[in-house]
Amino acid sequence: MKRSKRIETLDKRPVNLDGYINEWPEMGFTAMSSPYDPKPSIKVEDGKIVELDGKQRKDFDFIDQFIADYAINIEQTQHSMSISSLEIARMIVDIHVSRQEILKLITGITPAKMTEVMNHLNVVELMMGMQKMRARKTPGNQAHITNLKDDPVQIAADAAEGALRGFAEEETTMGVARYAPLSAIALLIGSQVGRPGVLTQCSAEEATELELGIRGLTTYAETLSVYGTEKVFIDGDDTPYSKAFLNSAYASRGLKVRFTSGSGSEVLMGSSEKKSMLYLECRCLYATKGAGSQGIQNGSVSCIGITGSVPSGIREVLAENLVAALLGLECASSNDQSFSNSDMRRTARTMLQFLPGTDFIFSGYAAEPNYDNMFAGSNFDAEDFDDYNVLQRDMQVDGGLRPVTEEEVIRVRNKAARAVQAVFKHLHLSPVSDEQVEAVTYAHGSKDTPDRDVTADLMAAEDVLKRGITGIDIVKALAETGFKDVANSVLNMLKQRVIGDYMQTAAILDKEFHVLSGLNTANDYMGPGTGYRVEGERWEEIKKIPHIINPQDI
Amino acid sequence: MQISEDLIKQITNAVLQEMGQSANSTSLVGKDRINPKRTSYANYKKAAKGTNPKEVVIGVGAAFQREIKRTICNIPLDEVLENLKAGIEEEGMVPRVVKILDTSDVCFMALEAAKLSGSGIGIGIQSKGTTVIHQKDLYPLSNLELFPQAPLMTLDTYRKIGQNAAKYVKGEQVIPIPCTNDPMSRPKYQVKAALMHIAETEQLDPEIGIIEWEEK
Amino acid sequence: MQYPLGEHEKEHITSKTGKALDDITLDAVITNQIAPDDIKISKDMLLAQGQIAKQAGNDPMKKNFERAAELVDVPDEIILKMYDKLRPNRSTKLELVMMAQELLEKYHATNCARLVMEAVEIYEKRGILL
Repeated sequence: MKRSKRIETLDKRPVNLDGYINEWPEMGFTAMSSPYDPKPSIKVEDGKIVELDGKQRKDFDFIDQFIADYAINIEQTQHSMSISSLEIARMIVDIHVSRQEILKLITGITPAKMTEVMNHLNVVELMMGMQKMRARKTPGNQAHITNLKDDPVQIAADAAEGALRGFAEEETTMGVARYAPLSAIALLIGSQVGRPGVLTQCSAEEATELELGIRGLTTYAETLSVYGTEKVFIDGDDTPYSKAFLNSAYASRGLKVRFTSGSGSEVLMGSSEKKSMLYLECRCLYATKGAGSQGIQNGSVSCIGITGSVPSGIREVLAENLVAALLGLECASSNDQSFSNSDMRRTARTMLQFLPGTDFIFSGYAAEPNYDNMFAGSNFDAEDFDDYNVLQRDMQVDGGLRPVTEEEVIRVRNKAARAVQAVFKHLHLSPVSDEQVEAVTYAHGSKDTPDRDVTADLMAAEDVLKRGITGIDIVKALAETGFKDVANSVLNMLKQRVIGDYMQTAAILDKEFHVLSGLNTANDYMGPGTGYRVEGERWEEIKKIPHIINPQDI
Repeated sequence: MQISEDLIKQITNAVLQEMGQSANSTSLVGKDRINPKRTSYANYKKAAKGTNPKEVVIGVGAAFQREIKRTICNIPLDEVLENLKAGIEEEGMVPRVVKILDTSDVCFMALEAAKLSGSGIGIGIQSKGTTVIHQKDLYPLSNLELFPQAPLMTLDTYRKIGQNAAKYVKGEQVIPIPCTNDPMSRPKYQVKAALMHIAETEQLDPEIGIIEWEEK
Repeated sequence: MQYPLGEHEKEHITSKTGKALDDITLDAVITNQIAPDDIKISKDMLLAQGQIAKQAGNDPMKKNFERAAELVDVPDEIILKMYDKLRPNRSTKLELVMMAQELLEKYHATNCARLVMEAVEIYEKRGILL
């Protein structure tokens, strides 16, 4: 066939490098609904749920049983289930119905009913719902802080810069899992150099992550994964019961925790039981709610390549974020994984959370170049910082970040690198050279830094665990090496776990360590003239992007 | 009620099937599998627990070298296996290959291989190429080294994985193989990864468990 | 009780070891007066946070704080072991029942023990016990 030059040009566009697939419900490749999804139903006998979404109690798998016993409000359920799904969908977008009223109603509906409600909402209505249902009044943002070399000095510098740029939480992970203790320490120090009060997390195997948390080397945990089918839950080496116990274990040590889930994982693991991605994600979110978690990271997350490949997939991603908010959960709404070769498509996908605002618009904006992102690439990275700042300014939207100056960036990166150098020396961990501090200060990514002695680092990491080094040791080391202000900030982070306020829904800390959560700064949006508005000091800050034309220069 | 529900389901299925056949040749709507049949391994020798302290067990996926012949980035699995084994041998250790039919999760596969291994070190490899080095006493989802980005693997990486696994047996200080990262592999490969995983998972036969595997 | 407790109830807050929040200072750390246990949360604070969650209409969260309060006195290693035993295909029925008993008798952790017993029932039904 003689080829059309137009079509040839289109074929080469980045969007055509992405993967797409037709719906195939038998294998779970269907976003919002599957012909095999159950019909909503509930039956309560003697204060116990004996039928849930068409299934009898004797046929419950462990997810059904956990949801029935822990996640549905029995006093509310008859009433809530009697209201039609369409009516509930309309209430969600009705500015005259308050968030509180909807939260109460939702405690009584089942996962299948929730799926039905979402299917009545188009993408703009889903955004309207999110604007109202988000837990915290002000939106927030979270960064990924990682690099290809697992270099702790670079982690500290990137954490400091990220904190300066406005991220309220920072998460790290490793290429080599055994680096975890060093990564956690570097992130803790760097974050507090950039802006006191930033929460930090080290994503690792469940037991390791808990241990780092207990020792005070991290301040929150996020990787408590839940899944929508029993088979995949078991492959994930957990059950809703073990996860509920783990959640309580974290809380018993005063740590903020959120769970993580996301559509597409069951498809990727080959066990979707023919259900739609949204229905399975609803099950995850009900299990999360039932375990008493304050929040969730969701929105397909690392399986966005699956959800994004099917029709209405990106709408589904926002729908699952909204389901989390409807259940009263803090929602860290993904956007944390590269999913498209097309700049247009990846930006459009993020607008769905950026415009209405979520508790954390990204649950991992790569605050390093994507080649250094060890979560396999985020949807936005360090090279998009200015684009993001301009988007905030263009639309007068608070995306959680702010423009910064080059001087500030260099200053905090250098200080963070020096603080890690001093602490490692003081604690007899692996050495950090002046040359490395200098390189990391001015670096964009790990291509600009010298290699570390990996063997020495891994021995030091093991040593941290063996010697039982805790957050208190870090505070002391910082204080004794001339970083008293940073020491104070780390200590203040540790004191949060004695108080526990930041374990309530959607909590972050400001630079004076005041808690801002869904309780004391609740979202009170009820239409124009209410809720959070970008104004005053914050608006002035957002306006100050670099590269503004000075009329006097012309 | 019951009858009408069933009827609706039947009609839905029939409609879906029809649509699948006529509307689009890439649609598999109505089908439950990728490969119509599951290969039987009933006549194969069950894998034994090794006693040789120099042994490294490689646990391959259920569809390995049968339904799936190449990794997600088109490397022939025969060559992948040769390189893993050569890497182990170059470090003076002894490879043994088993096929794992009770799980397709790479971490659990690697852990099962490690538990069968005389040295306690094992390698798990899915047919799409994802690989883990594991040790018998670690948590299942923990590992010594994990190579999650199958699309970035080369034969050289597989050889180094073999070498490193052998070095763990010898108790040497091992420098983990440097990570590679391509943020754009997800959009390109994740759907393919899911389909390959489905093709592997549908070959599982937990009754058989783990077998010795010497396929050429 | 008014949330945030760290602002409204500051002077009444003590840590797991009974150390007053205001006594946890940088000077105290430098002079070795702060042990790792001094920066752990107390039962009372967890129960108070549970009450706050309940007032906000979040019953499952209140129950989580109750379970957490019960686990305050369970040592780190034991907590990790218990979590591991609750994972799928890790324990026999007897092991889990004994774990529930230990939670109940040794730590008076009624709610945690109930969670474990419920897990035993459904794990047995779903065939994920050893």
